[in-house]
Amino acid sequence: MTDRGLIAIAAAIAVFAGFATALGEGNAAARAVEAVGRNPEANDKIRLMMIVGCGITETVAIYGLLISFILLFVY
Amino acid sequence: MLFSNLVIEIQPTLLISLAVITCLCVFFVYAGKKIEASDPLEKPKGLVLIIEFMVDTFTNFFGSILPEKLQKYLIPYFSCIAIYIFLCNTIGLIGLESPTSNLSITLALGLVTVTMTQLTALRTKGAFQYIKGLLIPPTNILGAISPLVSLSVRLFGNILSGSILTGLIYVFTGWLSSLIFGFIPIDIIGPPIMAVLHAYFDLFAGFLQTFIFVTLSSVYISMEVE
Repeated sequence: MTDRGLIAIAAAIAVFAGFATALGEGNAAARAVEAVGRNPEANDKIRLMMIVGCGITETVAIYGLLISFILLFVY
Repeated sequence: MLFSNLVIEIQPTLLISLAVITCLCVFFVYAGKKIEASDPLEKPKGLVLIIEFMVDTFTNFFGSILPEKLQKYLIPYFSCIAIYIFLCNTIGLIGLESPTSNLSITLALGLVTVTMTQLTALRTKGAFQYIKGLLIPPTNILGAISPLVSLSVRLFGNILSGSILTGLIYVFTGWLSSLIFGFIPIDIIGPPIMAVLHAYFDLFAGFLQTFIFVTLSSVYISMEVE
C-alpha cells in the first residue's frame, strides 16, 4: 500500500515540470507580440518562429508527462 | 538457452505502419502515372495541381534550410518522411492506434536522422577532422547522441500522451453515457465533445510535431556542412 501511495505522489510531482515550461512559453509569446508590434510586416516569420520555439520548449513538459504516465500505468 | 525467455509479439502499430506505407506507395505510383500522362504546357488541375503545389511548398521550405550540395537527395527524403509522419500522427481520426505512439518506430526515424548527420559530417570534414571534432571537448560525443533521444522521445511523448488523454476522456464519457442514457448501449456523449479534442490532439499537435521533426532534422544536417 505504501508503494502505491509513493508512486502516486511521484507521478504528481513529475507533472510539475510544466511550471517552468509555461513560464518560458509565456515569455516567448510576449516577446513575439512585442516584436510584431514593432515591425508588423514580419508577422508571418515571427509567428512561425514562435510556434517552432514553443514546440521545442514543450519537450521538457512532455518528458514530465511521459514519466508520470509510465509510473501510473506500468507500476 | 540465452534467449529462452524471448517473447516476440506482433504489435498492432507495426501492422498499421506497414499498411500506411503500402497505401502511400500505391498512391504515389498512381499519382506518378497521372503526372506522366499530363501535358506540361497546359494548366494542371485536379490531382496534378495538388501534387505540384505540395512539391513547390516542400522545395521552397527545405531549399531555404539545406545547403545546395545536399538538396538533390535530401528534399525528397524529408518530404516523404514529413508525409509519412503526418499520416501516422493523424490516423487516430479513423480509430486506429497511431504508429508513432510506439517508441520503436520513432527511434528508427531518429536513428536515420543521426546516422545521416554523422555521415554528412564525415564526408564533409574527412575522417581525421571528424574524429578530432568528436573527441577534443569530450562532451561533443553527447552532442552527437542527444538529438537521437530528443527527436524520438519528443514525437513519441507528444503522440502517446495525446492518445492516452483521449482514451481517458472516452472512458469517462462512456461511464457518463451509461449513467444518463442507460438504455442505449453505445457512447452518445463522447463523439460530439471529442470532436474538438481530436482536432487539437490529432490534427494540430500532429502537424506541429512533424513540422518540428523535419525542421530540426534538416537544421542538424545543414549545421554539419557549414
